Amino acid sequence: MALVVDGLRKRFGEVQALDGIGFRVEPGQVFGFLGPNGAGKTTTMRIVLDILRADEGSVTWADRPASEAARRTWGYLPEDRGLYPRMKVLDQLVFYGSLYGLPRREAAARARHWLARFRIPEYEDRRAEQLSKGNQQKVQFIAAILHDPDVLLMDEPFSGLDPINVALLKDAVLEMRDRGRALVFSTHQMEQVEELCGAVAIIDRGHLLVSGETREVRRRAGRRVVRLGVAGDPDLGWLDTLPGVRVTRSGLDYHELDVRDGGDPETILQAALARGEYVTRFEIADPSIEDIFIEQVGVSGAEERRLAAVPAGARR
Amino acid sequence: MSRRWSVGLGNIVAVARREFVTRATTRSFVISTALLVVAAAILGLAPVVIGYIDRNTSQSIEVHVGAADLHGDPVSTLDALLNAPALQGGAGATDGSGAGTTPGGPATRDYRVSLAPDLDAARRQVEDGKLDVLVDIERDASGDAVFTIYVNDPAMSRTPDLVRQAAASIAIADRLGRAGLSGAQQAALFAPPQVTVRSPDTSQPASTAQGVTGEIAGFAVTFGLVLFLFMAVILYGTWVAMSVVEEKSNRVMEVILAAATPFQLLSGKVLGVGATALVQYVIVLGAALLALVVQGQVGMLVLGETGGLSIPQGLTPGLLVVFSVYFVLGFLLYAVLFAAAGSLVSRQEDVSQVVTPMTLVSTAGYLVGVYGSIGILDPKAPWLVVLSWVPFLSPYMMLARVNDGSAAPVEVVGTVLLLALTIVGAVWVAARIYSAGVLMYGQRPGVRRMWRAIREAR
Repeated sequence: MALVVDGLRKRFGEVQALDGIGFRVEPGQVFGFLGPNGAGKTTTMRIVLDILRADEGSVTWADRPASEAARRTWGYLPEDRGLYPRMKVLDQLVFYGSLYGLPRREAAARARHWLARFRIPEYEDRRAEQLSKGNQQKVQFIAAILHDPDVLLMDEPFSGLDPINVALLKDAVLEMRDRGRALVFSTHQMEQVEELCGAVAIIDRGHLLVSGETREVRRRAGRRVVRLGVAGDPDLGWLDTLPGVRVTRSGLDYHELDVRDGGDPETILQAALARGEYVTRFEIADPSIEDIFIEQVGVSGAEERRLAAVPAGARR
Repeated sequence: MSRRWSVGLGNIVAVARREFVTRATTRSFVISTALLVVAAAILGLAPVVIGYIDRNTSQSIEVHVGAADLHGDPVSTLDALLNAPALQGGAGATDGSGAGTTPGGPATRDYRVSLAPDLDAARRQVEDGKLDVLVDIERDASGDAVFTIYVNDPAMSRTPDLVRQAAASIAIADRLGRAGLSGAQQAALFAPPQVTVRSPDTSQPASTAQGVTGEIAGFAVTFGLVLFLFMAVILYGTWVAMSVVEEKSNRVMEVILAAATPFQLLSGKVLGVGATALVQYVIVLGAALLALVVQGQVGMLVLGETGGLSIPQGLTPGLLVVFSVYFVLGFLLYAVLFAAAGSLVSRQEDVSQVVTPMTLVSTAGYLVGVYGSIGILDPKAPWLVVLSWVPFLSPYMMLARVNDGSAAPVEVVGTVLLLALTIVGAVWVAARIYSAGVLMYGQRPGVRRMWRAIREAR
């Protein structure tokens, strides 16, 4: 009983959108599918859902081709919210529920239940266009889980939500995870990933860069992160002279150091103390998923994160 | 396998149901249905309405007979000729045979004819508009009857022409009277001969006067039915396309595609819109039929006269059954293609452009069907027979051929089967275009792209 995606390839005209994407999601697991814009996350999801056809590769659920099992026992929350603007919220939910094979009465009961749980029971008779974007998104989420799917795929579920709604949605996701559902969500926002995802995959331009259990992925990065804070505003140039140590981020409160290739976090602390610094903070950690993401995706990332300098002559 | 079928059916029903409910409850649908019902009722009550209008506009004619020894009774002759059914009811019914009766024409008099004692007084009445027409009959030097018609605005009125025709009869009756023929002899002289119009195929029943008007009514019925089909295809077909584009532009498409196959979506949509169309049609047709049925009673109430029940001749149950079959199948074929076309564009503005091919073919079929049904084109012409086998055209053209009797039952069954097969093929192609098209945003549809879509679709 696992969702196994293996060796997906898909070409759109000149563009190789996917080039060998594969991962595995177990029931009771939240899987984070990470990548920058245009990496191929949505295309992968569409193929997994059998909306698009892959040129190569397979998608199986419980060792059977997903195209035979899917649909009724799966749910999908697409990136673009799709609600009929002029249809009442409850009617929409009943419609989506009946597409997934729920009897209408049952669908209505479940829809009311979920509207109440998401704290918007008063909106059942409103038309979708009258709802705020955040509430539309909640309705959309309910539409995707009304039939209690075994597999739920979500494309950027948290984008455009305020912190309270993000928390609500996270709660719902974790509840489904605890009931043994397999959940996949794509995002390019890293904050949610470490909190929710037991496993991740990072893709870029159709290539799979990293995949595995989140903890494992962080450990495997082959480096450690040290956060060092010292009192005053001393010159920290000496840090760069230590072997395998590199300052990656300088902040007001602390500095973040990248330690690898034989570097030892212990030597940093000892060196700091030996120099007579007053250490306010010393922390050793695995790199965050965000660090790994930037490292993997942004080979030229540092450059891409700044506005391009356009020659003056090019302006009009 | 049977589970998959029932799942598919469930989804088709769910999609169709949503489509039907949302459409049928929109204000525009309710209003347009109400307007159509009123229009249909007026059309069904047309004879009563016309009778009512005619009653108020009936013309008064006075006759002044200056020639005292005129043979015959000019007042009753004018009255009989002017109010003859052939002249009543306006154009179309004056088919020259003179024997035709307009079905259902109420027996109201268009002209009230009376004798004018004083020529000058009557002429002043015409001038004041109290009298519509004054006919003065005198004798000239040779003793023949001469007629003067006094009328305001002679160029606009049809009456002088009608009176002129009647005057000829009065003059001839007068000449015969002066030649010494009695009234009875004159009646024998003017008795119409028996004329039979036959088709060269002598096995066909002879066409009587009744048959001629029946044929005209038949033309009208076929014309109406073909027009009905054409309107349904264009109107509701565009609905289908619009509805597909709407789902695309709302991005609803992606959600429902995860739950249902393109085939289920397409079928559900076509059936849902089709059901809405059918409901509107049945309501409107029902109103028209009801109006036809109660026409007599309404006529009694409004006009105080009985018109009698009259269903248009030529509207036989057989023709209605054939029409229903062609209507449903023809609509389905076009609706499926409209759905596929709608899936190729992503904005409402582009819909009319992308449905143009269907509109053109449909218009061609409609025009040929109409020309065939009203006799501008001969439905028996070989090229028309060949074209009537083309599935996109046969719903339009077979009606005319069925109505004029040139289509053998085997041809009806054959074209219906061909049509049904084409629908199956169209659904197959359309579902493929649809599944590729619905996720295609902002790309210009072209033949090559469509071809690739059909080949690549799952």
